[in-house]
Amino acid sequence: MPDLILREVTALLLPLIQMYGIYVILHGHISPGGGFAGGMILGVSMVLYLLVFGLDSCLRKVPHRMSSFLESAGTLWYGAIGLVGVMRGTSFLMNKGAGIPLGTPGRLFSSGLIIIITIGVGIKVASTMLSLFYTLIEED
Amino acid sequence: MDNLFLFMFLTFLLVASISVCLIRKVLHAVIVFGIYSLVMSIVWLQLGSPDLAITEAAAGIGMSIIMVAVVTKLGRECQ
Repeated sequence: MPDLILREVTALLLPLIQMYGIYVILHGHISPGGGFAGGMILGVSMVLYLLVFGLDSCLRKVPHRMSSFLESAGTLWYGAIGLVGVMRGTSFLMNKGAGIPLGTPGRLFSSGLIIIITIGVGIKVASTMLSLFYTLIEED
Repeated sequence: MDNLFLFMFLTFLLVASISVCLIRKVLHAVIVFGIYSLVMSIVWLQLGSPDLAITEAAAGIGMSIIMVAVVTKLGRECQ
């Protein structure tokens, strides 16, 4: 789609959309939102880039292999962080009981492992949306 | 007053979801589906779960509309 207005408006809006998605992911434990919602916003922004600037331009930024790899890596990241509790001698996904410092409630870095897991979930959802779209478009 | 708004929104959701099934043109059905998702996210906010409202706004309005548009090759139909 070589439309000038569409391309310029998208180039202006895309950083703001992605910044909002990262904000929702990072503040998942103290405000509404979380890994799924923020990752969905990130994925929608990448699909918007794909639809406006074309498939080849988007494949140059994020190859199909890389989005498939990130999709699996997000799930493995969740499991690996869950194993931290097992290594400390407690149950799977244990947070406070495993002796992880929690910090003051209400601050950004205040929930131990939850924020680390949420980042992995966000990356997984965003790359799932993108690779789903690659599969749909490359079918033609 | 809150209940009146909720009742109006729920009635609209019922009408919109039936009309999506009945509308024949794909473009019009997609537009009605987008409005359905927007009102649905407002209903989630009224019911006290902003978490689901954000997800509905992103998934319903953004993702499913774009996905339906690509799957049904809407761009070809509009030209």
